[in-house]
Amino acid sequence: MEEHAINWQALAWALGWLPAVLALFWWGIRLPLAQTGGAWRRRGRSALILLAGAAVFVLALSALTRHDSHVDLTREKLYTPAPTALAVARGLRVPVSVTYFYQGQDPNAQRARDMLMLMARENALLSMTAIDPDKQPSLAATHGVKMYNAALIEVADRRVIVQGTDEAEFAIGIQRALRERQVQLCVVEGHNEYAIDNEEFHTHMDSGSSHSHDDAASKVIETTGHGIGRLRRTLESVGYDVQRLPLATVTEIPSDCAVVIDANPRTTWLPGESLALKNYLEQGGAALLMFDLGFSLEPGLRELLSTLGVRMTQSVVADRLSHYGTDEEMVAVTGYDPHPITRHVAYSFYPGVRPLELATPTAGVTTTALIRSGNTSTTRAVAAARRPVTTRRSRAHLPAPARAR
Amino acid sequence: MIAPVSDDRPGLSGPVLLAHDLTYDYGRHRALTGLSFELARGEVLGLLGPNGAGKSTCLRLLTGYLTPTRGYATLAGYDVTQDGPAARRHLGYVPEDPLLYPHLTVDELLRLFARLKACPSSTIHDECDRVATRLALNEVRKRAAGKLSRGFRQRVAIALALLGAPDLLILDEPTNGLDPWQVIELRELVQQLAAEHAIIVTSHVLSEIERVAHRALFLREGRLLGSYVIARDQPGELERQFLAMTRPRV
Amino acid sequence: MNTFAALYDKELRGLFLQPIAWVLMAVFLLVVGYTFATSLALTKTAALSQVIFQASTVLLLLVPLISMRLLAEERRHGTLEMLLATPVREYQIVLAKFAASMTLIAAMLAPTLVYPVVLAWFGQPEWGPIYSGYLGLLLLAGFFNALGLALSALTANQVVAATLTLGLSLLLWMIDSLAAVLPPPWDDLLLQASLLAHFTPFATGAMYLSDAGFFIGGTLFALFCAVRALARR
Repeated sequence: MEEHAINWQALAWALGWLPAVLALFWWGIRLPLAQTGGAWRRRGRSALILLAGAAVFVLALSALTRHDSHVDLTREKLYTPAPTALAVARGLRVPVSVTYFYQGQDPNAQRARDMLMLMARENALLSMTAIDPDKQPSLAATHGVKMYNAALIEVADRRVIVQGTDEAEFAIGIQRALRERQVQLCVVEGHNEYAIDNEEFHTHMDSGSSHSHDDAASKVIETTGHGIGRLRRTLESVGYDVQRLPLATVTEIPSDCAVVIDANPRTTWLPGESLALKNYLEQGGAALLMFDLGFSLEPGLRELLSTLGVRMTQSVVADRLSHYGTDEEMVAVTGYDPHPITRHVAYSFYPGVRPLELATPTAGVTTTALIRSGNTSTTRAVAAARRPVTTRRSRAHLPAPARAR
Repeated sequence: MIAPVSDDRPGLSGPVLLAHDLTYDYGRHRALTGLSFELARGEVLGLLGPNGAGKSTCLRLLTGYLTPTRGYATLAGYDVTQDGPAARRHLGYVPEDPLLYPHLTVDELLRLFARLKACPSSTIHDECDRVATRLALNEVRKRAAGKLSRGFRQRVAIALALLGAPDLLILDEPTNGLDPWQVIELRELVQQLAAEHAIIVTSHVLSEIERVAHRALFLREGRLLGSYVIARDQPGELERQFLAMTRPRV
Repeated sequence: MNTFAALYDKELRGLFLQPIAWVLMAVFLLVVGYTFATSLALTKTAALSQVIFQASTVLLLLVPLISMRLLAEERRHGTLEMLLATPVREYQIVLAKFAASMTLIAAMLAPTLVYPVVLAWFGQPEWGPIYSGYLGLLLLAGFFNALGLALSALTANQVVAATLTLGLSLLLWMIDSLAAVLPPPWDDLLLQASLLAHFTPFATGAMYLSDAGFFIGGTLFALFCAVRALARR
């Protein structure tokens, strides 16, 4: 495998270094010890010889360090950068500078620093500097870095900041910095969607088996979600630029939006927003629409979905056989078709999920079901009113972090 | 009476040892100044002087253990400083009160020093037998050196020095700590060895020097005061010469 | 070569015919064996990294006791003068003593090879870090040994030699602890001089060739100093 390829140049250096050092040693220990002259002259000469020996040692070590080679004997290659990261480093064709501001006491950060150094050895075009902000706070401030374990990646006049300790993420950051044009994703807001700038990592879902509100409601109690900040960060880490799109304030969706995402709107769209989406899709745009129970489709939006072959009702899916725990509405999907989108998706749960009905799309449109519940699943209609929401005290949303350019 | 060395004494075949202007400083203290002499095979030279005269320093310069501040010495034609290993092949040295490796047996010591003196592998066994027989060590060959008496230790040290048939033997205070019988035995041994080797011997016992040496050098405060050719028919004369030369001036 | 072999043979006898070698071996195996047993019982992991680190610390303490007498004793007893009155050269004496004491150290480490055998019998240890760990121990011990030899050549007092060796070894072992608070380039310089910083990669199984070069170069330099120190008469 390429990532374990032997560095022949470094090995040749090492194999040549050792005999050379041994030869110098052999010559040095055979230097005459007996010296004529007075005591001070002898001491002076001895001191000079010792200094020369020390200098040879330092120079020899420096020479070996310049042509060093890393050997990782662990089974899992724990101390070798990920193959993808190495591939990125080796494939560089333009100078890239990485400055890693790492927390010196953090073992993970130390490892990340070491991995970056190993990546830098793979290609002379990749230069790497490690800075401990605790020791050099002014440098961190100069570069505009305010977090620990942040890698500042610079290519020409482009800068990307990647926070973390995973060399694979740094490699993706390098690729982002190399791209002259970034793929932009536009996340719709203005309908009480999930926030994209939260820092929390989870959303609570409780089963309704312990309590319920009325028959019309799904038994799944949804607490206020913290947001989809994690999704945004993941998308950014793989190279996308995520922007907010206040749909109500624009007459048309910008053409540089590669995908429009709407994650759990709670309030109805305006007709103009539906029209903007329709025009955008007709011009070749793409959309990821995640509509949950309770969201009422504006007639224009309903019409649009109908042309795409999708109908949505206010109902919830239940599966008496395939569900999580004892709640039939915690639907479990046990398998997926080998579609490129779902090929790597595994066993998943969809609590309180709203079903999609496939209809006949407009000519020229193909509809493909990606996620199907089991054969024993059914749907149950719920009231048009929104499901009761148990509000938990949530943390104040953090201000949107500065987006790295 | 100081007399020059005679060149037509029996057994001489040119100098085995040549010392020229040997000078040595221990820091600011000059321990030896300008010592020059020659020694031929078959000649026994006694090195005499009070404590601190520079005898030990002289011997260490001749063995190459110390490097002269000035001057040089050659042994069998090799400079003892520049060609130390080659010169020391022709040297057998018995230090004052030799401390042997206590954990090694006499046999192991003989074999060790035979190898260190670069005796051919095929002759090591015979060489060890030769010197052990000559020094009457066969009965103690299997004994650890640490368990030997002073007298046997001295004999072992001489045996080690004889390995390889060196041209020059240096014996530093060889009679120290020996009983009278051992002193007599050693004297006889030195007289036998004198026929084949050049020997330098130091001792505080002037009568012993008078019995074994052909010539004596008198040192005091690092300087050579004079040389005396020992007359066998004038016993006690050495002592008188020694006192006359080395008595401190008032 | 014959001279070197003769000196090596003498040194080996001198080491193994004295009780100190066996006492040191027993102490080493006792401490390291205890570490092996307790780490295995507590972690139940087929790994030797804990043992390797412990062994390195024990070597730091015990190797000076091996090297302290190598040349100091010769000076004290006058046998050095007898040796140097033969055609032997100083570097031959130093190399023979180094080789013999490394043989003793290897003999100390050899019984610990049963630990990976035990791990392999009951589990699936990672062999890479085990190989590199033992290599690191040998290189580290060689460095301590050479350093001790150089300091032993400077004095006729074994205790002084051992104390100096232990002190200098300890200093070089923990010199990197200051690196965390020093600014560049001083932090990097201290890390470059640190024995622990260069040894740790061997224990973890991932190292640079320069880590091995550090120990090899340092050992050779110390031996060079030992030879030069013998010139002091």
